[in-house]
Order: sequence, then structure tokens, then C-alpha cells
Amino acid sequence: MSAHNGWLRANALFSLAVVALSVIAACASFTDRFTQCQPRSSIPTLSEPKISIVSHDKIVRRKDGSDELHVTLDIDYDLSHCATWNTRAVHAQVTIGYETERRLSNEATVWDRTATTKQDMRVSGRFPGKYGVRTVDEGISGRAVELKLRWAVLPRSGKMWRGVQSVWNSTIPAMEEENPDLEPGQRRMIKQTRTPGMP
Amino acid sequence: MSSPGAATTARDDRPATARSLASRAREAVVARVRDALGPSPRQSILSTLSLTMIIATALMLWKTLILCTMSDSPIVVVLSGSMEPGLRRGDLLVLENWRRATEIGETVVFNVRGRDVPIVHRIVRAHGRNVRGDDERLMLTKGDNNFADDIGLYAPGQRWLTEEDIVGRAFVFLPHVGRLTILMNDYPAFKVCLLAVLGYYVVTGKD
Repeated sequence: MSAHNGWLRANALFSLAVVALSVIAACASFTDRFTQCQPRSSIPTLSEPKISIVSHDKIVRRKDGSDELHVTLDIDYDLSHCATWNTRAVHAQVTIGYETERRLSNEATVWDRTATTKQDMRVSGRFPGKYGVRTVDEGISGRAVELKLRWAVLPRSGKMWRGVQSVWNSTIPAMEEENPDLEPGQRRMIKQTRTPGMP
Repeated sequence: MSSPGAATTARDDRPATARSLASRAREAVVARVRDALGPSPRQSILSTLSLTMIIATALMLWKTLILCTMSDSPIVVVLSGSMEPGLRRGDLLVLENWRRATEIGETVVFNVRGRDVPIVHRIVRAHGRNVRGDDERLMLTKGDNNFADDIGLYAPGQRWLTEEDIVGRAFVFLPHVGRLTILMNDYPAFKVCLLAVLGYYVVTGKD
């Protein structure tokens, strides 16, 4: 009988613990709602984050018509305001978005970083893109592109949330075609592709 | 010399002790016989019903969660360190699948064709549907802690994930709650012991 009572007590304690912890987690998550997450520049006198492509290190057209693009980025942002006492990590992602005739939305990550401390959430400097952009069925050369800063906040417990801000618009220059019949120095320039909506 | 009152109490005690011994012996014999014959039909029906109710309640809760989140498997436990330092082993994620379109940057759980265990990774590339409508939305995933993207993890010949591969998007995070699953995965003997103890408790429980 006493063992049975023990089980009952353990069960009651477990249920109470689950309910109490769920309520605490929900309350902690609710406090995140009062945070105004606005990315800024890591330089105190500037307000907006600045991210831009400083060089196109490699642009190659493959035989299947797709392009491969590698870039170097100038990055300057401060996401430390997005972190609250209930934040475990902030994942920042720089994405490059473009339109083609076949697919209206294309977006690829060129750089990312997961930060767990406020110091790591401030980034400033020149970084080679961590990932190359490989298009699906059309080229990216000569097209208008838009750089976006995306952030995903992982709480210590509760609801996960994300945000996005457009940071830069530009056009990718026309590039060379990869042709195995030609020597590397004999690559030829191809005709610039027209971007929908652009003159 | 004891008082007459005390003598009376002593005389009353003796037959009371004898009675309780006799009744205890009788109860012990009855219990032995009952054990030998097995539980009464009424008792076995009660324990079967209570077990069925526990299973039905768990199933109802799970199905309700599936209905609310529109995801086939709304709760997953992170089993690997590929998303560290964000998601660690033993963390629990609640998934939703309310809208079909999955955006870049979202942490998703997806199934790889021909593999049983779903994977939790982040979407790093997303290409919209073909304007002619003859192609799906294409997505590529990568673990935050991995060097390479997931093309090597996909089925042979598969280069992209489509919407039907996505089980759900993570929207609620609870740390350490899935540690028990990790223990059960790492030590199968622990799983058997836990199930045996729970089973014994459920079958013999009288409430």
C-alpha cells in the first residue's frame, strides 16, 4: 500500500512539475514580446546596418546554363538589441535574392554566423562569402540582386522568432562562360542577360 | 495488588488478540487462494479499462496536437549536435506546418526518402515555384554546425527538398526536455526497464 502511495505521490509531483515548468516557460517567452528588435550598425553613431558586396571573386557559367558566384562582403551590423535575458543564440544570415524569367523568387545564403554572446552579435569587417551561389536553371549574371540581413532568435525556452531587413541593392556584372574546350585564359564574355523589370 | 479495573482490562485484551490473529490468518489464506485463482473478472475488466483509457488519452492528445499544428509529427527531439551552439542534443522542438511555403532561414524538420530518422536543419537556399507551374519550390538545408550543405545527406540523385519532404517548422523550443529520449536511444536496456516499470504500475494500479 505504501508503494502505491509512493507512485501516486511521484505521479502528482511529476504532473505538478510539468505544469509549473510549462507556465514558467510560457511567461519567459511572453517577456520576449516587449523587445523591439531593430538591427543597428556596430558603429554607435550610425543607425542602419551596412552590408554590401565589395568584390565578385568568381562568376562562372556552367554548361547546363547555371551560374556559380562567389563574393566578398563588407559586413557591419549589431543584433545585440535582439537578445533578451531569455535568448540562447541569435543566428544571423546574409542572403542574396534575385528574380529570373522562370522563377520569380530565388534566395541563397552567402554568409552566416551563430552568436551566443552580445559581443559576437556585433560584427564588423570584410569577410569572404562562406557559401557560393549556384543558380538552378538560369544565370545570375547581369541581374539585379538584393542583399538581406535575416536573423533567427533561439530563446532559452519558448517561442522562436525571426526577422529580416533589406540592406543593399545592386546588379551582378556579366561574366565568363566555363568552356572546357578553351584554355583558362581564353574564356569569353557572354551577352548580358536581361533582368525582368529592368531596362 | 492490581486494581479490579486493571484486571478487567487484561481479561478483555486476551480474547481480542486471539480474534485478530485468527482473522489475520483467515485473510492471508483468502488472499493466497485469490492469488492462485487469479484476479476477479470485475478487477481484470477494471484494470483493462484503465489501461485502455490511458492509451486512448495519450492518442487523443497526440492527434489533437497533429490537428492543431497540421504536422504529422509535431514534437521532435534533437538527436545530434549539427545545429550547435543553438540546438543541442536532448532539446525538444514543437513543429507547425500551417502554411505550405517555407522561407529561407527557418529551422525545419525534414524526411529523407528511404531513411527513418527525420533531420533538423536550417534552410539556406530557397527557389520559388517555376512560373509555368511544372516544378516545385526547391529548398536546400544545412546544419549550422556543419561545414557542408545537406546534398550528401539526401537520397542518391536528390539535390533539393520540396514541400512534401518537410515535416514541419520549429516554432517552440524547450531545452533538455528530450533527455529521456536520448537516454532511451543510447541505452536500449534503460528503455526496456522503464517500459517494464511503467507497465507494472499501469497493470497493478488500483486507482
